[in-house]
Order: sequence, then C-alpha cells, then structure tokens
Amino acid sequence: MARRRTHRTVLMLLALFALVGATTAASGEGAQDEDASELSTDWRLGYDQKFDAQLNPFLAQLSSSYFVFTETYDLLPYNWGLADAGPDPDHSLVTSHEVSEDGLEYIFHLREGVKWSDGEDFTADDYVFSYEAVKNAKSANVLAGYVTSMESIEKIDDYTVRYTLKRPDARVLSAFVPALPEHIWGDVPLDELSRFAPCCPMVGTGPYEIASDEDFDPKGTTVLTPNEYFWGEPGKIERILMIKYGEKEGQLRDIQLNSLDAVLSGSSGWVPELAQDPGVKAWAAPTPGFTSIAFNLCPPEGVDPDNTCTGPSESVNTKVVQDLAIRQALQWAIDRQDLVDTIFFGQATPGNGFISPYYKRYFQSFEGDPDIGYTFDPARAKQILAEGGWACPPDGVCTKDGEPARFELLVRGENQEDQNAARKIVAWAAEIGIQIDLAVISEDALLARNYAESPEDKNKYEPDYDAFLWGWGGDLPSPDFNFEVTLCGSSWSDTFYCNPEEYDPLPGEALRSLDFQERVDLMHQAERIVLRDSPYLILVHDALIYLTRTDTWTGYVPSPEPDGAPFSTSWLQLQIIEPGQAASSSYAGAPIALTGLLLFVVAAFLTSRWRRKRENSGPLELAPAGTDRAIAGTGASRS
Amino acid sequence: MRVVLSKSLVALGTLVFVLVFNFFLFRVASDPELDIRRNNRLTPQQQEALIEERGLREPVFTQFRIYIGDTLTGDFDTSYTSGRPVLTEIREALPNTILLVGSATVLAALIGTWLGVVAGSRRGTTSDTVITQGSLILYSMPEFWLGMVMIWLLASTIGAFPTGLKTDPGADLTGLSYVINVLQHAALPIIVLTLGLLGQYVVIMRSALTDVMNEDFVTTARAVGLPRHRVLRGHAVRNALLPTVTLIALNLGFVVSGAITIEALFSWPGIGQLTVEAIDANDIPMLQGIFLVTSVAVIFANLVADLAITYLDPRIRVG
Repeated sequence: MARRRTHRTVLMLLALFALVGATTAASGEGAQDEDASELSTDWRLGYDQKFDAQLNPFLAQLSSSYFVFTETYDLLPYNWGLADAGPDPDHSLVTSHEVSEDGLEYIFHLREGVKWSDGEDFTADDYVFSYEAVKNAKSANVLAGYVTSMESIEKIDDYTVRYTLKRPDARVLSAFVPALPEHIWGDVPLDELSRFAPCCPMVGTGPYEIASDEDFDPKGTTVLTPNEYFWGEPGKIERILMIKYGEKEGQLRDIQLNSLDAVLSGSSGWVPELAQDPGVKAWAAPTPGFTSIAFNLCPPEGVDPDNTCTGPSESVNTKVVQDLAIRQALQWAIDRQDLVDTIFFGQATPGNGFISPYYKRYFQSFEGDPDIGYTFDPARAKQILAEGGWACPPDGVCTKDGEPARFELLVRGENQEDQNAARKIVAWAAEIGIQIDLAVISEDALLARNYAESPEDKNKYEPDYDAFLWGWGGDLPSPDFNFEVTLCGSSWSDTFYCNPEEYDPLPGEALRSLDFQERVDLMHQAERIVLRDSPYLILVHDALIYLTRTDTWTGYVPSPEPDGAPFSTSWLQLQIIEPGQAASSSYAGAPIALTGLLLFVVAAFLTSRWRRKRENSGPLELAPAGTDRAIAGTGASRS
Repeated sequence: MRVVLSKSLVALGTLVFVLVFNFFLFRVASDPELDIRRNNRLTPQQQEALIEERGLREPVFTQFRIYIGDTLTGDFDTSYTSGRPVLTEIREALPNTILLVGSATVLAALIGTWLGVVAGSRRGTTSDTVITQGSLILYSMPEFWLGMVMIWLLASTIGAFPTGLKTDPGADLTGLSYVINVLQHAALPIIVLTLGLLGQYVVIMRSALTDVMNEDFVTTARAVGLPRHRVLRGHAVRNALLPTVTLIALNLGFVVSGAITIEALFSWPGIGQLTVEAIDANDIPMLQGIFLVTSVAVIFANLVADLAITYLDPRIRVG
C-alpha cells in the first residue's frame, strides 16, 4: 500500500518538473526570438579583480582601474595607437608636435574646442597642470617615472605648450600621463594627490565617464555613460557596464550564456576550452611584462640615495634571500618550459629576461648564455650552492653558518595559476636543498607586507616578506618601464634592489639615447646585470586573456596588432565596434520558473492534504519491528 | 518572569564578554594606529584626527572606554578599503544576506520539519528511506558544489534562473520591478542553501518524532482510537518539536553571518562577501564590526531559543 502511494507521488512530482521545464524552455526561446530583433546598446564587461582603493591614477595599479582610466582620460601628449601602440595624433588631444634638433625641446599643438566631461574648456593650462602635478606630487606617485627628464613645461598660448627636458628622453611621446582637469585637481595639495578621490563624477576628456556616485558600485555594476562633450566621433555603445564577480568561473559561464559581452581577465586554461565555441573568442595577448618571484633585497641599512626602504622587517630571512647563490641556484632549478606547458596551457613563453618577446624590436634571447641563459639544470644549481658556501646533504636542506636554506614564498590567493606554479617551484627547490614555505595570501595582504610602513619614517617602507610570486605589466610602447622597477628608490620598486654604480645609469642612458640601436644595446646591458643579480626570478612572459562574444558586438581590433588586447589599450577600440546580429539578451525565464515553483508547492500541499484525509480515516500504523534507525551526528549545524 | 530575567542577564553577560573580547582580539592581531596610517584613503590630517579621536596614543583603558562609548552609540569606525563607515557597509549588505540566508533558513526549517514528520510517522517505509537518505545526501554535499551543479542544471542548461548577481546589470529598476528582479536572482541561491540546510531539520525532526512515537502517551492515544492526525498533530509532533525549535532559533542567529561560499559563487553582495573582502584587505574595523553584529545576533537567537523552549516545555521552568 505504502509503496504504491510513493510511486504515485513521485510520478506527480516528475510531471510537475516536466511542466516547469517545458514552460521555462519555451519562455527562454521566446525571449531569445524577441531579443534578436533589437541591437545591443550595452557593452557588459565582467571582472573579478576589485578596483584600487580609489580611482586615482597617481596610486592605482589594478587592471579594473586602468580600464576606467582608458575610457575616461586622454593621455598627454598622445593616446596609444591601435596598430603599434605608438603616438596617435588623429585620436589625441595633441594633434602635432615639433622637436628641437638636440631633442630637448618639444612644442605640442593642442586640439581646439575640446571640453571636459563637465563642460569646462580643455586648454594648455590643463596640460601644464597635469605634468606639473605628476612632477611635483609629494605623495605616492606611480606616474613619476614618466617625467624624470622634465625640466619645465610652459603655456605658449591656449593651444600650444612648450615642454623642455634636462636630457633627451625616448619616452616623451608615449608617456602615461593622463590629462587632469585643473579646475578639479588644482585645489588638491601636492602631498595629497594620491589620496584624492576623483570619482564621482569622474571628469575627463575621454569618451565615457562615471557620472555619479550611484553609477560607481564596486560591489555590483559600475556604469560608464557617454561623455556628452566628447570631442571625437561618438561610439555605438550607450553604456559600459562593469560587472563585479565573486570568482572567475562565473564570468566564463555568463559570457557563454550571453550574459556578458566581454571578460577583462581570464585564465589561460580557457583558451583551449573555448577553441570550439563559436560564440566566444579568447584573445591571448602577450604581455609586455613578466611573471616572477621577487626577493626582498632591502639592505639592513636601507636603500641609498633615495632611500625608499629603511631596512627589512626583523622577520625577514635576509641571510637566505639576500644570498646571491640562493637566487642564482633557483634560477637554474626552475623548469620554465614545464610551467608554460602545464600551468599556462602554452599561453606564455619561458621567462628569459626583462624584455618580453612582445617587444619584437627590443627582445633578445639569452638562451645558451653560460651565465644568464637560465634553463632547467639542477646539477648546475647544486654547484652554485656549493660554490656559495652552502653545505647540502643528499636529501636535506642546505645550510650555511648554521642557517638553513629556507624562506617563505607569498603567493596570491586570487590567482590559481600562480599558486600552481608556486607549488611546482617549491618541489624543484626541494630537489636542490632549498626549502620554500608557501603562504597563500590575498593581494591586499601581500601589498601590505611588500610596502609595510617603516616605524622610522611613515613615508618609507620596512618590507616584511622573504619573497613573493607576482609580476609586472609593462608599458605597451616600449620596455623602459620594466627597467624602472629595479632602479634605486624607484616608486615602482618592490624588491628594493639597488645597484647605483653598475645598473642605474644604463636605463637612463637608454632613455636619453636617440639612436635606436644604441638604446637597445644599453637595455640589454642593463638586462644582463639584473639577470645576474637576480632580484627577480623571471618565470614566464605570460599572456593576458580577454574574452569577447562574437555575435553581440563585432569589429574588435587588437592593439597592438596583430595579437594585442581587443580593448583597454585605447578608448578607440570600443568606439569602433558595432552591434552584432545577436542582441545582448536579458534573462526572462525566472517568472516562469517561480510560477513553476509556486505550482509545485501548491500541488505538494494539496497532495499532502488529500493523503492525510485518506489516512485519517484509519488508525495510525505501527512501524515494523527493527526499522527505527539511529542517525548519528544529527545535531551538527552548518552555517 | 524570573526565568526570563535570569536568561536575559546571562545573555547580557555574554554580550559584555563579546564586547571586551572584540576589543582585545583585534588589538592582539594588529596595531590600530599603524592600520590607520596605512590607509591611503585618508589624508594625513584625517589620519591624525582619527588617531586622536580613537585615543590610540592613550592608555589601553582609555582606548577601551572610547571603544565602548563609540560602539554603544553605533559608531563602528571607518572601513579601510572603502573609506565608508563600517555600519553603513554592514547595513547595506545585511538585507541581502537576510534575504538569502534568512529565507533559506526559514524554508529549510519549514520543509525539513514537514519532511521529518512524514519520515518519522512512516518509519521503515519507502517514503522514510527516500526522505531520510535524500536529505542526508544533500546535507553532506559541500554547498558550493551543490550550487555549481544547480547553476549548470537550472541556470545554464534549462535557463530557468539567472546564474548570479543581485539584479540584472544596468537594468533600470524601481519599486516592484526591483523587488521582482532581486527575487529572481535570489531564487537559485536560496534553493541551493535550502537544500543544503534541509537535512538537519529532517533528521532532527524524524529522530525526535521516532522517540515520541514510542512514548506511553502516544500508545494510549492510539489505544483509545484517536484518528491518526490527532495523534500526530495533537500529541506526537508537539512534543517532538522541541529540538527543532532550538535548532531553528540557533540557525536564525547565524543568518547574519552570511553564507560565504554561496555568496561568492553567485556574486551576491552580502555579509559573507563583505567578510571575505575584509579578511583579504586586513580591514580590521570592518571585521570588528561584522564580528560584533554576528555575535549579537547569535546571542539574541540563543536567548530566543532559551525562552521558546522554556515556554514550550514547562519542565525546564521547574527544573
């Protein structure tokens, strides 16, 4: 009797589920048909890396913030062009320039009639202000490296500017200096520039703006709307929606379901996964930077002459990480090709220097070099340790003066690829007698330890880490930035490496040189020094993975061509895309699903009542003997 | 009345302990003055003012007095990451979490208790086996895994629900349309959480009912020929409800702590996400605020559970 009732109930439930499924599927198809008659107007971008503490170009480091900068600010003098990330006078605030024969004086001619997104006029005053702010900022300033050669800047008239240099600088035309509105930023004291919150409204001259506080929602959807005063051709996108995700995989799922048009930062593993998906294109854009292990090289007495660190924290194992033999041995102990194949799914190249193969005109392979052509050679690694005075037992940890070869490696919890790579490196290091203790922490926590404030001087650091695995992005036009991170006292320095005699003059000379070949040679000389001293173990030159749908928006142009990023290099990239055949669909199935659920609950209730009515006519059945089962662990609760 | 008073006093004592513990715990974990100095959102003047205001250079007792005063007046400090008042951040995230976890807890309690009664009153039948084993399987599944399966099945494959987020991105939603949109997005995570929480109620209720069904008064009720529903509803279920009521009250206390994995999986902006972000960013004021709010909720829920049990079971009042 009981068995038959159960069957009937199960059948009823199945029928209901089938009904819900059928109606939902039907509604979904209907919704798609309806959407197909319209064109997309929103461009929906998924991202999971949060914004910097504020959208301030003096301080920001994260890709989500830089995407906003790309769409809201123009660069001075020129935006980076699509083809080669070089100067693009057709789509910049500067339309032309003249340079003196000695390369020390530039005259920039500004576009007339340009307005800021709040309606104010853009003039030479704003240009002068932007450069002087970057030059004179007294707080943290990641833009400072672009104006180190600046002597002065002056307004000739409202649309002409004279820029004078102390020495020639090959990076003048590709500097990353955003055009900042003087009428907004002008009142901010120089020591507070990096703390100023320019949002919202975020006033710029770019094609989009974050118009109000309501539009800026770092935990939900941030909306960029067209700048009504934009000086260029308007694009087809009516709104850019930046949608924050709690984790990466949700973005892949949603772009496949047409709930997103693009993803800002994907995983290497998605590239082969999406190869067979005609609806989504994966762009593996070789990065101009590198993924590396950075060591804490802040000397106990601090770094001179610029002194960005006053000494490492007491907990830092300086005897190990500041021992050159340890770092060089690790260089030979790491199988970079294996990392490329297994961790990055082939979407990277083995790390072999500061200059990524992305910079085709600058790149030089050091493969085969007996000193710095690091390949996987554990025997060589052991030899270096022995020559460095480390005593290594066959299956144990090397020691030197009683100090075990052991240090902590920090890796970001937000990046699974980095964690997987770090685990391999720990195993390779163990084979040569170096014990690495892996610690997975958040990006914020890592930055806090990297730039731990010095108790001696709040404007300096007391770095509190042994080593960490992360990387640098690099500038698109030239590799100069990569060399800047290892200059003494650089605002970008994270290893606090300092070699003022041998290394520091070279990147500067390279910047000053107007002879391209000489410039490249100087860079390679610098590269050899930094590879020898190994403040970084450069692991791979990886690719940034971008995803775009192929049907909702079309006409993406990579920058630089042919294999760069489909957006986020220049605002022009989103200005030229066109709505595709399929519209951005919005979800429409839930009302039916909710109705189905409601039906299910009502049906279950009615069934229950009907059964109770039937059963109530008879006495309560006694359970068969031996059928009461004790269920262990029932008191536990989950939260 | 005396029972209510004594239990309230115990709860108050626990609350005082939590307040004191909250103060010292986070001072052991970090240096608040250094944390403020590291906060890039604040100007040096603002940093200095905050350090002065919190008395961070004063003796610990003075700092404690200021902390108690601030906490009691609802001033939970400022978040290091967002630069906004902690209470504002919690206040924004709390309704989302209550909607998600609260609904799931209530649904799980109702459905789980009902299924427990069905299983307990039909011991040894197929219904009992299916319900008990099914709910145990659901209970033993990691919630994020169950969530991934449900997203794949109900959102990606069938398309019956959105895959995540709180609302349709960029949708112009106000009033009723906003409420409906939020409910659409909340439905799937609520279902997942409900399924995950269901098992404990089923098992507790079934177990309690099984015990009660063997009591003499139930046998007597059967013997005098009372109909099934009167034996069950009027005698057995009422007596078996005590452990379930305790469980419901305790779980309601945990509602405000959020559901970290489910909120991350569905990109749901609740207390769970806030907690993860605060831990990631070493945002001590935010963690302190969340810890306090969660503790207060649990203490209050415990008190309610105690009082409910006392009301429902007179033996406790006497004993």
